[in-house]
Amino acid sequence: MTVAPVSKTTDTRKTRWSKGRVRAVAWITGGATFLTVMGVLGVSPKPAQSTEAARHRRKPQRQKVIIRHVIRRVVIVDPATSAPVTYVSGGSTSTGGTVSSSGGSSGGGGTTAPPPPPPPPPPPTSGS
Amino acid sequence: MGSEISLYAPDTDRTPAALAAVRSVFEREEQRFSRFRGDSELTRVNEAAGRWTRVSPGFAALVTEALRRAGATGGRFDPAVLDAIVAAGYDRDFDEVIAGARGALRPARPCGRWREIELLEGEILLPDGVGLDLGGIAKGWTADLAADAAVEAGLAWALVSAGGDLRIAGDAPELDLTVDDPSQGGGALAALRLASGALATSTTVRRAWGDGLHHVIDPMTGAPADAPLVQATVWAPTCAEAEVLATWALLTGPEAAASVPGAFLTPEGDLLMSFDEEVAA
Repeated sequence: MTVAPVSKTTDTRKTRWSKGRVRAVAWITGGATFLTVMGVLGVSPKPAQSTEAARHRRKPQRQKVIIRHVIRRVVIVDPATSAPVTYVSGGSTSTGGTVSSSGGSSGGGGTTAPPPPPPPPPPPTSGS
Repeated sequence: MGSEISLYAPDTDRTPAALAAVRSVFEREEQRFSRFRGDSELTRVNEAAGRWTRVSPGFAALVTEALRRAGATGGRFDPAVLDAIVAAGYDRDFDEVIAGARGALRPARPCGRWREIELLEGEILLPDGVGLDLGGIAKGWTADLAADAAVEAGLAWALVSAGGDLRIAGDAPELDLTVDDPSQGGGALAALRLASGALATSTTVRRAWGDGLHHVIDPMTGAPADAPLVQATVWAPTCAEAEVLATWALLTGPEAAASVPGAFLTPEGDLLMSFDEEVAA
């Protein structure tokens, strides 16, 4: 009795990767790409800085900044000389914008002024 | 003058002429009193220290006023602090000072030589080494002239604001104003109402370019003042006078409130008001 070898057929289909393997390869490839790009940017020549930009990067000494004052109390004092000025307490400034006094060349601060009054209405015109 | 100039007035057909008059006044006085312009009359006078120099009537008038105010304040207001303010680092336009992050250029020394300045028949003599800095008083003086010019141009009334110092001229209605909080991003410290006169404010918080470096010089030391007040806003009939009194009050401290009408902010956060009070409804 002869036993003939069973002929073997070659499986030509591509091997399917598992989802986990695909995911892993994707992460590795993406990470490598990112690092490569960052490396290229890191070694690439920088654009020339202007003198102005360079000067501003030498950060000037910090100015003293006073956080907004919290008024503890308002004390009304009788002055030696009177003035035709009224302090309006307990209310906000008038609407429509006001002129403010703030010091300027003498030190900033200042006062803010009010908007001018509206113009008078135009005189009535006769019908044509 | 390194300040924003505004005109508040009724909107009539005279307003454009008034605006032009205000602009003209500021340009003329800037040319006269700016220490940052090489061609100003003030620069010429300062450079000629040590010899008699002819000056314009307008220049002589302000210097006369400034010297009178120096005497009245016992030297606490001193128009001859140029050397001191330059020594502190404010030797050019303020925007350039900030951009260059300047520190003090040399040690401070007391001022007080305003007493040696002489004015006679249209000529001025500054002692050698003495220079005039008329910054604040010149701004107030110019605001006074400009407000009057606006009314002369035909307006019923005008309010001229120059960097926050302001002057009302003419027959104005009661106007609502605020005193600004000098701190970063601050709003209004107080609401005021007035129809005449001027308000000027002095503070060490603004126009500062470093720790302890700002432009309010204490003439007693020649250095930027370690002021007992954070801010002083003073009312006076003219802006020039208000400017002088605001500086005087800032250097004097809280007791100034008993002498001049104003609003005075202490380092502790108290606001002293020597104005009549009206409680808002």
